[in-house]
Amino acid sequence: MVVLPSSDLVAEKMVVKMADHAIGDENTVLATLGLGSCIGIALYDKFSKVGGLVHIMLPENPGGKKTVKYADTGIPFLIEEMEAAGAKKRRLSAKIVGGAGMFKSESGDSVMKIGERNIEAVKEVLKNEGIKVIGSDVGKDYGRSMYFYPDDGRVEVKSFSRDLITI
Amino acid sequence: MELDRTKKDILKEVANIGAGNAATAFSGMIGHEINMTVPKVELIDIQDLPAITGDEEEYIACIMINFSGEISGKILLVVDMENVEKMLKLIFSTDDLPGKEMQNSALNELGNILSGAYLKAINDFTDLDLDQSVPAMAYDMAGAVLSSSVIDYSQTEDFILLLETEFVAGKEKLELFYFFIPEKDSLDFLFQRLAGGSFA
Repeated sequence: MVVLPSSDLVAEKMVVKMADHAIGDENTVLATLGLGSCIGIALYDKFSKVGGLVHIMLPENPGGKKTVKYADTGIPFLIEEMEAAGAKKRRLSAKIVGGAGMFKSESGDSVMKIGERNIEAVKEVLKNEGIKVIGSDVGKDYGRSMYFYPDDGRVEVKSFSRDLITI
Repeated sequence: MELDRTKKDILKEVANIGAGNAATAFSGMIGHEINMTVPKVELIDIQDLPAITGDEEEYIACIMINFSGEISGKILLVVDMENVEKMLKLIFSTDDLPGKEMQNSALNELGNILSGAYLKAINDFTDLDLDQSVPAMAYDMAGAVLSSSVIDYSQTEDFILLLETEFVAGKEKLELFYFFIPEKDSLDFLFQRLAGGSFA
């Protein structure tokens, strides 16, 4: 039996594209579909129930480029936006999803290492911001879609390789 | 990056020549007639790439080949799972398919043959010398696969240039997306070569 994400029951679903972000409250679900080597970072303030999701593609902004495309500029930007929406930075926690190595050579070796580099960069940036990672589903070799519910902070992760999980 | 009419026409011609030769090679491999669509040349926002073949959560197979030399870029062959099965049945000329390893090997070989034919036609047309890498493969959600395929080009760019052709094979109506993605720095070189240096 196929288990559908519970987002299908929620009224307002906001889909976050690659190199984009969204802020939601307890009446929304923030979703990002088809994460490969990209990473979705869900930040949550459980007291104000403000949630933010950013879908980054790469570790480092070379300078002057689109803020939310990169871990090092996208995460601080998301924090600022969440504070403007009423969240408190010291109360934020993080859940991270993605960072896979999607392509393999015929011998089975992964051909691009960007997923791994993204995971390292995201963890580093969160650490420097003083935000604890309380849940993650990262790495390996498969794609993921994530659904983040700011009513209680849970994140559901859907993948073809296995059943829906909640982190 | 901007693409005026003349540059677009040049790229369409490149795609036409490359895809025509690839279709011939494909036809030779599976023994069926191949039809191809008129190639499309599009500059797309990288955000829109995950949904370029349809639903970004659809399960697909993608074969990726890098090419390099005087110009560099990537070739992607994208097939949904229903069409992968049709294609394998055509390649092996049987409904009784061999194991996964043989299937992957056949798909890699298909990637080699199609990209080899495409690049050879471009070589002949432009007098550029191009080499191709061994294929890499991914089976998964379209969005996850497609976004990851060009992630190395997105470091400094928010747009990518796609030369797209669809092949339709035989009575089976086998459909296969073929994308030729030149790296941005290679484009100026390509235009210069093809327009006899008249592009500034």
